[in-house]
Amino acid sequence: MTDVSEHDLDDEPDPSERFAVLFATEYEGLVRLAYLMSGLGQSSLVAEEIVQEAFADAYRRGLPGCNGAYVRRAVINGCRDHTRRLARWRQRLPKLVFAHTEAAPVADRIDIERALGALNAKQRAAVVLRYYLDLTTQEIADTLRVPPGTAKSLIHRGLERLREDLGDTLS
Amino acid sequence: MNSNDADIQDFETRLRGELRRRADQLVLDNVPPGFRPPGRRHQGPILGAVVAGALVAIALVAALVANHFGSSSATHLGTQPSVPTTGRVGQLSPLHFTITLPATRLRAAQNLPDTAVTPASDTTFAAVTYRLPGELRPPIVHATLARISDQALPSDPQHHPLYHALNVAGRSGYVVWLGHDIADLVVRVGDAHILDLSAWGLTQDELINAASSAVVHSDTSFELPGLPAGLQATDAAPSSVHGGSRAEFSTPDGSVGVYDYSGGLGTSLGVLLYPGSGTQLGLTTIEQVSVDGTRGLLRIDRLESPNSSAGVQSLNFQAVWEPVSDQSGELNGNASNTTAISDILNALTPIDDKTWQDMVTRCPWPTRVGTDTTNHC
Repeated sequence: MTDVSEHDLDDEPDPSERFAVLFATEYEGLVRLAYLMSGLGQSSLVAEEIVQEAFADAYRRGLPGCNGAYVRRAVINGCRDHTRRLARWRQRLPKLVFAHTEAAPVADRIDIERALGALNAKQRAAVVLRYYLDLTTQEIADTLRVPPGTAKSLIHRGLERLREDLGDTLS
Repeated sequence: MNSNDADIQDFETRLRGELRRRADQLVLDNVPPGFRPPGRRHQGPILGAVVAGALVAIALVAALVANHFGSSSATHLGTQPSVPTTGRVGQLSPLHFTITLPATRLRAAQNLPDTAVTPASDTTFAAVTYRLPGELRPPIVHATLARISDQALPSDPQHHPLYHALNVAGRSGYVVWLGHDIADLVVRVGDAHILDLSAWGLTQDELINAASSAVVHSDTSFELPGLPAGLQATDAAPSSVHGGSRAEFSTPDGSVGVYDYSGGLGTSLGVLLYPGSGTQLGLTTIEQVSVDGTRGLLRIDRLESPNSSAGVQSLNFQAVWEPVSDQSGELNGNASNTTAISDILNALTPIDDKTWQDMVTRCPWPTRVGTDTTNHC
């Protein structure tokens, strides 16, 4: 008689292998997600760092429960933390004026970067998850750990705000 | 469908397109080659986090410059400081040059002639770059330029080149460093004036430009002409870069420096000025470090000081470098008669992906931590 459980165990991918596959398949997409989430004007290294931290954290917390959704949530949180951190810096140093903002054209050119940046973190996350990753409302709710109704509301309000800010400027 | 619904749908379509277009614009030329889990038996709670995907730390560059700096050229460091250093922002000038940091590409040590560090001179530069360990984490470059003017080099076992360089620099000189993540270094120096630009939310390029154009005019002044207009550089700028702990360095004469040391995100650049002597230095990190062929574990003992001011607790650190091979951590690098900061930074040259892959393959770093001292390279 075959020992089924042993057979199953043999077929079970090594957790490290599964993690490696997860990394290989998800890394680049998550960096792009983080790039959108953390501010398009940022260096790509910021996005990469966020994603790597997410993977490192996932690994540290244990392989078995790790999946794409877990890491994606960690990336979203990382982006949120990054945005908050930046805001804190600027709050602490209110006198700092950056050249590029001074020199920016006066014209009210509000692009997607600034429009996204004007959303709050959850709205931004919801919008990006919906319109970049095409996640369902339920998936977005799971990722953001909010009720589906809240997720729907976040998407709706975020979209409305973007429409107000961007209008017909999106090509 | 009414016209409003149609408008919304149209906007949604355009939004999808724009988000994808923007995301696709991101050029990822340094995707890590893969995830390599750390050796199981070395997965300590802290070490595991550091090692989490990771493997190789690389390269050290030490560019040493002998004698007679600073008195004649503004592009070189000044002479021995005798009074507390103050920072100021000079007139803006065109950016001198730009180093992009394609994170996987930089390995400075390869292209600098090997020269043992024996700072017999009274003034020496040391430029240090290295990678954080890891395949998971693309290599990150730090450049440390240390003015070294103390011949009394440490002779203790703490031979880690960074320790070495910074320790010496900390005695009388300054350190400029730039990097993506300064988290693994903390310098505890008695008379430390630390100008932390990382708190200002500069972009990577701005940081690099600022660092690469740093000019020390004398013992008491320096410029960072690469800073964007409007930035006010002050000593001991508030620093809370990484969302974690931070250290404040206060000295008997009242000078204060603050620096972050926690792990995390962010682009960091610090300009550290050490005008004093008899300083004490510690590095903090729990990190495997591979520097110029030297492998080891930098173990940090944290000693919290009861001193505090401005609401920030001062911290002292002690670092212990534990080689896991019989190689010492001597500083190697380039020696020339005159080297400006920009020259050193310019020397940071790319390596190709294949080389990097080869190194990763040959040097599975996590297996070298702890008791496993097998030389896989």
